[in-house]
Order: sequence, then structure tokens, then C-alpha cells
Amino acid sequence: MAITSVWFLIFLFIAFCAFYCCPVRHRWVVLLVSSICFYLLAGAVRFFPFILFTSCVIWGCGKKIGKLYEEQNEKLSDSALDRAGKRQIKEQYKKRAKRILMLALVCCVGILCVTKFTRYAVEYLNLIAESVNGRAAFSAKWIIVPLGISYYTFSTVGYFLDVYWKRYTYEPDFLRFFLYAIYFPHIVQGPISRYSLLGQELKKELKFDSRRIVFGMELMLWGFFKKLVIADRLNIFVSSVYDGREHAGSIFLAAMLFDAFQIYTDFSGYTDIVRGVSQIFGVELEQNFNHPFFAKTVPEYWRRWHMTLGGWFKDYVYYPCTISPLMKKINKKAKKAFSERGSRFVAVVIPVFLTWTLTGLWHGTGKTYLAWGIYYSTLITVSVAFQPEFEKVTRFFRIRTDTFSWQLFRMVRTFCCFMGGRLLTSPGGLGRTWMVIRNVVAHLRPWCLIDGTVFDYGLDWPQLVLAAFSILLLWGVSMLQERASVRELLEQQNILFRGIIIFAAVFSILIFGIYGSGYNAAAFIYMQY
Amino acid sequence: MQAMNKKKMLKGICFVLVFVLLFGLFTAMFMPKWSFAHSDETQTRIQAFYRQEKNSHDVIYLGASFAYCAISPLTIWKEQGITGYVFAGTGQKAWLSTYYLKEALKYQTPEAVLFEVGAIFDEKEASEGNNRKNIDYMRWSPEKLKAIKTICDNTGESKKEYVIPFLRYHSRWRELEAKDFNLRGDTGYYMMGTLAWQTTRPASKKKIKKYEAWKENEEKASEVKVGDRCRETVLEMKKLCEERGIAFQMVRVPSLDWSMEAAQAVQAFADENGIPYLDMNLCREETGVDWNTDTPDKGKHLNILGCRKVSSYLGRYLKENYEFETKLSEKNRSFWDESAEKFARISESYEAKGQKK
Repeated sequence: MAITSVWFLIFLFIAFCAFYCCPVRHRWVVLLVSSICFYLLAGAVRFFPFILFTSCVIWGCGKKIGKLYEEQNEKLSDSALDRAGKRQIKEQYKKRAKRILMLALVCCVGILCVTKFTRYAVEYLNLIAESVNGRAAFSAKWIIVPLGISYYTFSTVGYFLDVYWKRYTYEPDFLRFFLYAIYFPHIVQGPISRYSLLGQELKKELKFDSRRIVFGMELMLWGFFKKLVIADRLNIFVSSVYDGREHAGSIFLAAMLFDAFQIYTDFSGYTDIVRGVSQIFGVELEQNFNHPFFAKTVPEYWRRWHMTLGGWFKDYVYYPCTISPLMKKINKKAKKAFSERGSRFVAVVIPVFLTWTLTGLWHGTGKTYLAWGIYYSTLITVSVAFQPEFEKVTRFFRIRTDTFSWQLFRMVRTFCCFMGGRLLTSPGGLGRTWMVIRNVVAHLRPWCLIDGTVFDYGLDWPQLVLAAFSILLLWGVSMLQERASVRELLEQQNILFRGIIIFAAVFSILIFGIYGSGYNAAAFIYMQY
Repeated sequence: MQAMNKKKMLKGICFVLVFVLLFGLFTAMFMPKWSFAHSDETQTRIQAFYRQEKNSHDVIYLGASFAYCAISPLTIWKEQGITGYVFAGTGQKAWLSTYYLKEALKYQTPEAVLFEVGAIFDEKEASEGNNRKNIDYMRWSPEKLKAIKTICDNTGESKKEYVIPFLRYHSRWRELEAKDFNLRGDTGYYMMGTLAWQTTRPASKKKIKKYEAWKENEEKASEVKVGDRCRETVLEMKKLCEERGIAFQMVRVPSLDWSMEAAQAVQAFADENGIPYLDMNLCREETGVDWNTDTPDKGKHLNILGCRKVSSYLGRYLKENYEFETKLSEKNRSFWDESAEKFARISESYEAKGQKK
């Protein structure tokens, strides 16, 4: 059951009716049942044990650790204990908690790694086997990737680490916790929610609020527009160009540009839909995108793009790495061996490379995603480490940095960096990436953009004009969203104007959307993770 | 729900109503209009059927394109005073004809139903385009839903796209023409289902020679058989007619897309099941079809000249074999007279032009 299908809308309608017909205090149960139904309908029954197992392990271990901490606090409150005794108790409980932590992480992250990476490991092993005895030795058919495994594993592990680090106490009710893990708007493609936010949202009184419901529907509409009208339309062109064959460099450039907008509208469109759905049920999901194409630097870009993933890696990988005992040792040695600046560079580069390599591997395995991780690690490290030099250059050329043109240049530069990152993964392998670069440099043939060649890639001129117009609209709305809430602005307008805008949006999606047997709506790109 | 006041509820209802209205309008606009004159008038044929005076037709003709190219109820009316309607469709398969018959019998009480058997050996589903032409403009009824189910179960096409045609046709936004905005359909239609094809493309001499070499009583070991699916549906049509006291007959109009083996197989099937069968390919002198002048596509179908000849013969056959009592109202009778004159004029005018393309 795809989220853009008629079946999902029917499912949503039934869930909506059941939810608001139920007394307020039992509404979370309707959400839990709906979420389980959705998971079984969207994925498969065979996936369900995985999410149930992960939830049980994390909840059980979290509860165990929480109880340990309670026990520890009880013992520590004994006034008869001296400092050494308290330290001993702390050490003792820390060890026990660590053992539980390791057990839970091995179980849950282990499942994630096995399901995600075994296929690639088998491929490599088969390559070796083929070179030795001429045939593949292993089969990867038995490996399944449960729906939303990366998202629910990260969400639940985040909760577990927070309990371990005593950021908040454990959830005593398993069903409440299971709802947090399986909550249907975020299970397939995120956002990766924090328990401190979503868990609390799900616990509050979920009352009927027509204003919030209308807002949710409007957000869903905007998401559908982004996904069905822009992303899936651009996908026709992009997938047709990145088919492994050689094309004119100018066509590849157009594909790179479209690809950037496609991935953004695809993923942010999905996020808008699910945030809208969640708002209808009175639950606020975290924002995942904040107009990343307006970012002026690569680090800023990543604070605006897939914010919940970036936030997760920052809180659970980057910061723990920077304050880890090992990192402290390395920093100490670096301070002795290098200058002040050199040691600062070392302090940045290791956590950044570790975080971005893992982020790359989260997106996919193999050389492509490793290269992607190194690409962003390098960009971020360079932008942070050489900040003084960049400032010197701007001063040397007497560039006025407070002007619109400079800000625009920075935005375009960041956008180009993003396109560079996409170039590593979109064409379907580093060999193809090299082919694209070679064609852009050596066979640009810019006339292909105006002699009709561009229409050979699945989009005729009305479709290309529509795509361009839609991107302009996206840009306009994004500008407006940077300043104010578009939905609140719309709310203040007269009913006739509001009606025209809403019906125009609904019928734009219905008419111009890529769906039905005339088209096949592309699967959401981020669903594979 | 309690918090929702009446005003908000009213707004919600208004929103739904406006949405339904607009959705209906857009659906009508985006659905392809197969109604252009003197060509494939499938849409018009179906829409015009529903505009017929209730219980006014003596004969209902069913089948595929062979039927609507070869049978002119207006000619039969002019010559024999028998009314009728060709309720057939492009590439229509026998099982769809059954649904058409059920639909027709809701509005008409004919004395006879004639099923043209040109597609009786075809057991496979038609292309999506032809299925669409046959289904899209039918009125909503259990028959239509059953027809959709039959097609989609066999072809794997999307049921919801047949039920909500907008889902299939929304991508036509870049193909819309002026005629797409004519939402009333072709109201001036008077042909009674006939396609007055005004083109001539003679059949090849080789084809004609082969056709003329048939001998009616020549025995030939035939391996051609009516398939199970068509057999069942034809028998269902027969049963439906018998239950209502309507005569059911099979006919085959002249076509070079036919063979003696096929003729014999249908005859055997007809004999076996007690269904009267008229194969006009075996009545060549009586029909007088000239394959040099009377076909628009080298012998597969008949043009307006062939249609007139075949209809004259069929009219005589009906008059001899059945009894009809005209049920037309006075007003409708004059419309039929005028329409028959119009058809005759078109036919004569085409003949006078020298049967140019």
C-alpha cells in the first residue's frame, strides 16, 4: 500500500473515522491498531516479527537499565555510604548497564547490519568464489529487508541510548512504546523521531481540532504536489538519462539538475504527506526539511536536509565520538605533535569522517556510498578547517559579503556541491559517474538542449514546461515559507479565495500528477533505506 | 466530533459537493471522445442507444465492427418497416456482447436479437483501447461492473481505472482538443448504430478469387471450433432471449475475413444448439456485394454501399422469417423516416461521387 495510492487514502479515512469515534483516552489504541494494520498491508506479515523483536528487546533492555538506575539511586541514597563506596556502586551498576547496552545494540543493530549488508557481502564473496572455481558459491535470496528497518531501529536505539545516558526515564508500558516504534506515518520513511518528542506527543490527549485537521490536509496536498507532480515527472527524465548509456554532456547536466530537485521533492514531499497525516490525528512529527536549497554552506545544508537523520548522527555518533576517552587521548597527542590549529583540525576530522562514513553506509553499501561519505567529510572538514583562508580570499578580492549577489553565489555553490554528491550515487555506480563527467567535459553539445534532443527522454515540451513551472512554484512557496506559515496566511484569506487555491491544488495534483497506468508512480527513493 | 459545529459541517459538505461536481466535469472533459463523424463512432453509438424511445425497437443487432459496418436499421426500416439498433462496439468480444444484450433488454423489448458472429472464434480479450471504447460510455449498472470485472480479471488492467476513468485519462491534459469540451456528446446522431463508412479500398484479386472459390456444400475436414468461452456466452445470450420470449439468431455479414471452415464450424455449433444461423457469405448473389466497390479496407468490412446491399437482404430475410409489429410513436416514426431518407441520400451521394476515397 503506497502512500500515494487510493488504498492509502481509503485506509486513512477508515482510521480517521475510527480514531475520532473512539473516546479520547483510548484513541492511542486506535493509532496502534491502525499502525499495525498499515505495517501488515504496506509491508508483509513476514516483516512484522522483526519490528516486534526490536521493540521488545529495546523496551525490555531499556526497562532493565531504568530499573538498575532506580536501584542504584536507592543504594546511593543510603547515608551510611562513603565516597569510595558510592563510586564502587556506580562502577558496578555502570558495568551491568553497559552489558545490557551491548546486548541490545548487538541484537538490534546486528539485525539492521545483517539485513542491509549481507546481500553486498554475498555479492563480493561470490565474486571471489567465481574467480576461484568459476561459479557463485552463496545465495542471497533468503535475505529480506523489513519495511522501515533503518527508521525504526534508529528511533528505538535513540530512545535506548537516551535512557542509558539518563536523558529521560524508561517507558513502562510496552504498548505505548510499540506505538512509538510502529506509528504508521513515520514507519516507512521517517522522520526519525525522538522519544522525548513523539513519545510525549502520543501520550497527550488527542482531541478533535478542525483547524489542525485542515492544516494537516493542506500539508498533505503540498506533499502530494511535490511527489506526484514534480518528483515523479522529473524521475521520468532522470531515469531515462541515467540508463547506463552515453548521452550528450548537456543532457547529463540537465539530468543532474533535475535529479537534485527530484530527490528533494520526493523525500520532502513524502515528509509533508506523513506530517500532514500525523497532524490530522493530532500528533506533531518533527520537521525533516527546512528549504535546504537556501543553505549557503554545506554544513548548513545538512542542518536543513533530512534533519532528523543529521540530528541523530550528531547526537548519537558525532558528539559521543568527540567526548570519547579515545578521542581525548588522540587530541592530547595531536596537541603535542602539531600546532594549535593542527590539533583542532585533528579534533574535527576524525569525528566528521566517522559520522559521514556511517551516514554514507546508512544510505547504501559499496564503494559508491563510501565515496559519498568521504566526499561530504572532505567538504565539511575543508569548510571548517580552512575558514580563515576563505575569509582572507574574500578580503583580498574585496568581495562585499553583505550583498544579495554574494548570498546567491553561496547558495548556488552549495547547490552545486549537493549535485556533486548526487553525481556519485545517482548514475548507478562510480564507473557511470566517471562516464557522466567525461561526457560533460568532452562532449557537452549544448545545442542538444534546444534542437529537440531533450524531448527524447520521456518528457515532451508541455511536460518540461510544466516541470519548470512547478519548480518555480516550489521556489516561490519556499521563499514564502521562509518568512511565514503559508497555511496561516491562507487561513486569513476570504473563503472564496481559499477555496480556489485549495481546489486548484487538488485538481493540479489529480490532473498533472504522475499516477495510473498511463504512468507508474515511482517508489519513494528513501523507502529503500 | 462534538466540537465540530454546524457551520464547519456545512463547509465540509459544500467542499465535498463542489469537489464531486468538478471531478465529474473534469472526468467528462478528459474522457476521449470517440464521436467524430463517419468514423469510429463508438461513444455516440452507446450514448445514442440510451436516448432511444423506450421499447421502440423490433430488432437488436449485437457484435463487433462487422455488425455496425454492414447493418443499417434505417435501410431495413425504409424497405421493410422493421426498426432496430446496432448495439455493437469496436473489437467487441462475444462475452461483452452478452453484457450489451443485458443492458439493451433493460430499455428495449425486441422481437429478435441478431448476433453477428465475426468474433466468435476469438477467445482472447481485446486491447485496452477497444475495451475502453466498449465500456467507458455505458451507463452505470451491475452489467457494466460485471463487464469491467471480466475484462480486468483476464487482462490484469486496473478495475479502479475503469470505475474512475479520470485515473486513466488525466494524462490527456496535453492532448485536449475543442471537441473534448463538448460535454453533451453527439446529440444529433440518427444512424441507429450504423457506421456509414464512405471510403473504398478494393480487395485484391487473389483474395476475391479465394473467397469466390468456396462452395457451400463442399465437405472439408475442419479443425476450426467455437471455443468454450464464446460457446458459453452465446448460449447465455440464447437463454436470456428465450426467457423473455425473444427470438435469438446468429448472422455473419459478408467479409473476406471469413472462411468456409469458419462458416461450417459456426453452422455446426448453431445446429448443435438449435440456434438459427444466417451466413450471408453463402448468399452472394442475393446480397450482391461487389468487393471492388463495397469495402473500405480490402474486404474485411463493408462501406456504406455494401451496408445498403446487405441491409436490404437482411431486411427481406427478417420479414420472411419473423413477425414484427411496429411500436414506434407517431413522432418517432417521422424521425425514422427522415433519418432513413438522410441515410439513403448519403449513400446515393457517395455512389454518385464514384466511390472515391
